[in-house]
Amino acid sequence: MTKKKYYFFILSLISANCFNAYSQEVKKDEPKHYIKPTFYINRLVTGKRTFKTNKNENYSFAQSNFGFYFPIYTNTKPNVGDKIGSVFQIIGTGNVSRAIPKFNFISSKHTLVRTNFGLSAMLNTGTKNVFFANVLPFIAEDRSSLQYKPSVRLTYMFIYNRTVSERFSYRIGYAKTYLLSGSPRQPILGIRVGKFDRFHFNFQYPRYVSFDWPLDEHITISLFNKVMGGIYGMRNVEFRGDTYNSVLFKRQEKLTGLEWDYKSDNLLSFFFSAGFVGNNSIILNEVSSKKINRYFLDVMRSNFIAAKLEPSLFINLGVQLSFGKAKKIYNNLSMYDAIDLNTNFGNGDNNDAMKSAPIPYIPSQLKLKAIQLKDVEDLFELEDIN
Amino acid sequence: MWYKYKIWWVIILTGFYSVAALSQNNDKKEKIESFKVAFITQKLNLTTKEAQLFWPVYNEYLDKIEVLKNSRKKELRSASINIESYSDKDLELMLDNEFLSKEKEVELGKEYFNKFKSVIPVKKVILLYKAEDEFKRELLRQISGK
Repeated sequence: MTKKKYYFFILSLISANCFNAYSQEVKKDEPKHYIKPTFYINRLVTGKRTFKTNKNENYSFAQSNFGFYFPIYTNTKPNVGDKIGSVFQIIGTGNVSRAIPKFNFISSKHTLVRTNFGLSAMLNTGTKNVFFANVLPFIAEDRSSLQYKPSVRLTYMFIYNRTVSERFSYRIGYAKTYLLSGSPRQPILGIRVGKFDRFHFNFQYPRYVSFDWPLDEHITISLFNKVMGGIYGMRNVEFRGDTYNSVLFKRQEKLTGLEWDYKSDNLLSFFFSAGFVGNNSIILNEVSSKKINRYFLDVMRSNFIAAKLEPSLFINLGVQLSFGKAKKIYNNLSMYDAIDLNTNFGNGDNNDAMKSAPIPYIPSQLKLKAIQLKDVEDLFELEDIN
Repeated sequence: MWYKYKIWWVIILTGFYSVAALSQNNDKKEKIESFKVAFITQKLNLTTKEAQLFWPVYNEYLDKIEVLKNSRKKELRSASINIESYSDKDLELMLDNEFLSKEKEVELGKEYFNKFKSVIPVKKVILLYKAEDEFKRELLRQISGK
């Protein structure tokens, strides 16, 4: 990141916090939003993957990701009789990912940075419908060269979610995403079977398939298969002299593994996942400087390298900090889906964030462990004892 | 190589430790609250439609009542610790605020009684109030270990 962008990023974080502080001051402690301002950082590392066609060539990939999201505007309309008022939310989001691909057949090192700032909007109408939209423009650059000209691209998505019951919801939508190596324009199709706070199955094309098992209010274990990928502009020094000053690097992989999430109700959460990375492919193709911002499939025919890779191992870990208070959402089923959409679809085009959304766990056994008088004294008043 | 960054590791780990310690107290409150929600869910036996309409209204009520109770308790707690440092006038004002806050709580109760009965039958609203009382007794019972 250049100094200017760094300052811009820091300023955005500060303004995000100031805005939130201001909006909390307006109504004296009463939470205004359903989503807490959240910062996250995570890191993905993969092992060396050899080419299927040429065992002498290999590639590995590491990525660090730092981002945040915060509520900008929430409008909760009051209920009229037995009709539940709608809830409209606008959420700001920002993300910087720093990727380092290592190719044993390319001598130069590349640090590929993608910076995005975007907006999500969610509308809950009645008790069953959630409309979700997300627009994320991003700047992709190769930090290893000052001569390299950054390129600007855009990802977006629209999703309609129907909460049929507490055990079932489905989603349909449309997205422009660079997670897949095919066309960036993809349909979104998803179903969830099972309650959010119990063992449930999630199929969310094209992002992930998972079995999620919340063990208690803190720990969730997930068995997942998810797609990760990206498109990056890379400075060219290896291929055909200086005819092409940029190379388009495209990667796609499918991660199958086990994730362990620790979710605190306040402030701190973290996750760790590990497993196999398979269905790997990388493509390096030529792009003239004039074409860099054009639809990348136009130049797919002129690949320098298009290779399928052997599977390998990966580790992905991250930490998340959430601040302030949010409105309570106990048993508010359509809001559960809205929060899940924001967590799993709203934060950049990386698909490497913590999987479990901040949805409250309602215990089935009415027995509290290690409870002491000081934990509950706030709940009692003098009248309760009379 | 790693020693270059060790100061950052110390800062990060200390930060996480403090944050984790800070979040523990809040976690207990949230845990008791989710226990209360489970208790009420079991006692009210709401239909799917009733539950979908009732819980957003009840959450709103919980948010508002929490703000009222917190501000009241904060004032009284600080006065009971440093009672000598408060003037009679300050203490009088504090008690006036206490009564005002309780009046507000009653008003809020009335307002939300009307809201509750528009989404669930009155009988279930009565069961809700009963369940809230039983929940407190249940907590005391569990603390005493009986």
